[in-house]
Amino acid sequence: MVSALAGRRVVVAKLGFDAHWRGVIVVANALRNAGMEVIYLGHATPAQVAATAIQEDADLIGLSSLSGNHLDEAAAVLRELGARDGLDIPVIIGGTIPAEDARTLTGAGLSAVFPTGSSLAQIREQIAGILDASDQAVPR
Amino acid sequence: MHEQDSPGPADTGPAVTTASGIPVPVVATSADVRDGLAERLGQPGEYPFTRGIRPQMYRTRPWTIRQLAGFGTARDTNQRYRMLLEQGATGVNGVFDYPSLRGFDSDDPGAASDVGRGGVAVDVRDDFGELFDGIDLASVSVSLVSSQPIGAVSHFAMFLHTAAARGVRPEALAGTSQNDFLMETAITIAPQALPPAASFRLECDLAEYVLQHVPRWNPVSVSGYNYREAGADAIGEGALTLAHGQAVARELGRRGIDPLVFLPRISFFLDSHSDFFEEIAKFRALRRMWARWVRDELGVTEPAAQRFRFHTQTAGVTSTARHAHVNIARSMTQGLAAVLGGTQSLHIDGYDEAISIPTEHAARTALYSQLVLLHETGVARSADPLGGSYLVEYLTDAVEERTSALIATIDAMGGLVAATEAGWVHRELASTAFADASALETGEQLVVGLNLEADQDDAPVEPFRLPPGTLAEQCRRLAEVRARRDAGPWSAAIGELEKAALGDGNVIPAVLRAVEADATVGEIGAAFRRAAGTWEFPLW
Repeated sequence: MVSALAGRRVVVAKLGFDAHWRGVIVVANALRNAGMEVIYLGHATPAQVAATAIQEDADLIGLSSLSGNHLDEAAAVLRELGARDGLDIPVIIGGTIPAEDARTLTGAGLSAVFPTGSSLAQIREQIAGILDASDQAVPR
Repeated sequence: MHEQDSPGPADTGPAVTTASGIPVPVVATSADVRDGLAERLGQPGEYPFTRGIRPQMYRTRPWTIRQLAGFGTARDTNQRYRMLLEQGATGVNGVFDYPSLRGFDSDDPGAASDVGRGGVAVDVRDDFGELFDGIDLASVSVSLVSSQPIGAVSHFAMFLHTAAARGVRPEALAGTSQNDFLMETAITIAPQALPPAASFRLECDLAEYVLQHVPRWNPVSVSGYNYREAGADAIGEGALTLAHGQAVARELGRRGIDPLVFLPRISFFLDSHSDFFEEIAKFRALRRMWARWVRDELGVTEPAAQRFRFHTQTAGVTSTARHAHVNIARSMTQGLAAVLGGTQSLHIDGYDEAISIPTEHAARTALYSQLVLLHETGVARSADPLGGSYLVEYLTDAVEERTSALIATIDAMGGLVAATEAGWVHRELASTAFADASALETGEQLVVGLNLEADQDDAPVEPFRLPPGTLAEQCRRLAEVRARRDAGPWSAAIGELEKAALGDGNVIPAVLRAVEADATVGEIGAAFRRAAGTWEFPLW
C-alpha cells in the first residue's frame, strides 16, 4: 500500500488498435498493489474513456500506447473530456513515446508521460504528486 | 546437484539461477551432465537434432538474413524491402499494420490512428501488387507476418492473387505466413477479437489449403517470440511454442493430412533474449523435444519431418530507450546466441526499437550487424560449437525437463485452445511479466538504461516518423475499389464466405473468391466476426 494512492480510483485503457498489453497490465497490477481501485477497460474509444471516468468519479485516467498512436488518441481523450466538462480529471500516458512527443503531450494538457523504461516507483511517486496537486486545485 | 564434485569454488550467498530460475553451478563439470549424452546429442542433421537440423549447418546454408519491415503505404514499404534486398538481406519479412492484422479496413472509424503503424497498411488486393512491385516472387522467399489468422487468410489470398497476376505459379512460391491463433487471442489485444476456437480453426484451414495447393509455403509460424515478449520466460516460451505446434499437428492429422506432408511445413519463430547460455540451451532443447514428440506420438521417423526449423528475432522487450545505442551491443549478443543455437533465419532489432519503428539508419545498422556475425566472427564455421560444454548440456537438459512439465500442465487442461479459453495463458504471461518488473524494482535484475547508469547523459536518437498521407491514401483507394467493383458478385461472395465460416468445411476457397470479387480485408474480417462472434480477453 502506498498511502497517497490508497483508495483512489483510476480508469485504465488502451486506445485504437494498439495490441501490446504487457505494460498496461503490469502497471495496473502495481497500482492495485499500491491500494488504488483500478477500472481496466481494455480497448476503449476516447469517448468511452471520458464517459467512464466521469461516471465513475475517477481520480485519474491512465492511457497506454505502444503503437505510435499516442498523439492522435491522447488529444482525442482530452477533447472528449473537455466536451463533458471533465478536464479536472488528470490524464497520464505510458508507452513507446519519443521525448519530443512527450513534450507535446504535456504541453497539450497531459499530467505525465511515462516512456519505455520508466520504473514502477517513478510512476507511483509521480501519480501521488499528480493526485495531490489535483486535490488542491479542485476540492472533491 | 554436485555431490560428485570434488570440493571446488564454493557456491556462496543466495542461489544463482538463470533468468527462468534454473540453478547455475559456479563451474559446471561432467557431474552436472546426466548419463547418455551421446544419445541426446546425435550428429548435426540427425535425430534428435540437438546439434542442428543440417549436417553441414551454415557451411552449406547460412542463416537467412530476414529483417522485418513495414510501415505506411505499400509503396513506402516496397522501397524499404528493396533497400534491404539490395544491401544484403536474403529474404523479405513483411509486417502489417494493426488494423489490417485484425481484419479491419483503414477507413474503419476506430482504425484511423493506427493506419500504417507497426506495419504496412493493406486493404485491397491492389495493395499487394504494389507491396511486391519489382520483387521476383519466384526467387525471393517472403515471410508474411500476418500474425492473426483473421488477417492472415485475406493477406495470403491477396498475395496469391498478386503472384497469379504475374504468372508465378503457386508451386513456385516460397515463404511463410505467421498465422497464429494465440496472437489473436492471448498475446496481442484488440477490439472484437475472434474466440480462440474460431481463430484456431481459421489457422488450420489456411494450413490445410496451403499444404494442398502451395507446397513450398509454411502456413504456420508458431510465434514463441511474441509469447516471450508478452511476458513468458524461456520455459513458458518453449512450452507454449511446442504445445501450439502439437495442437496444429494433431488437428491437421485429424483432418486426414499425412504427417509427412504437414510436418516439414510447420515452422517456428523464437526469441533470443539476454540470458546467453539459457537461450542457447532453449534452442537446442526445443529442437530435440520436437523431434522426440514427432517420433513418439506421431510415429514418424523420416528425418525431414522431425526437424524443428525456426526463425529468430532479438528481444525487442530488452531494448531500452535510454542509452539506445547500447541496444546494438545487446542485440549482437542475442543474435550471436541465436546463431550458436542453430537458427535458420535471423532478424536483429534496430537500436531504436524502444522509441519507434526503425529508421533507415537503425535498420541498416542491424542488417550490417548480421553481416559482421556471418563474415567476420567465424561462428558459422562449425555446427553446434557449444555442444559438449558441461554448462550448455546441463542447461539444455534442465530446459527440456522444465518445459516438458509445463506442456503436461497444458495437456491436462485439455490442450492449448482450452487453456487459452480458460484464461490460463493470459494469467501465466501476466504473472511472469509482473515478476520481471519486480526484479527490476528490487535490483535483482540490472539493466543499463533502466536501473543501471540510467541517470547518465545520453546521445539522443531521432525517432522514425511515419510518412504523412497513409490514411488518406488508403481511404482513397478503398473508395475507388468500392466504386469500381461489381456489387452483385461481391455481395454473393461475402454471403458465401459467411456461410462457409458457419459451416464445417474449409473457408479458404471462399476467401479467395471474395478477394477475386474485390472484397477488402475489413469486409472479410467482418464476415468472420458475424459468423463466430467475438470475446473479451481474460486479462483482468
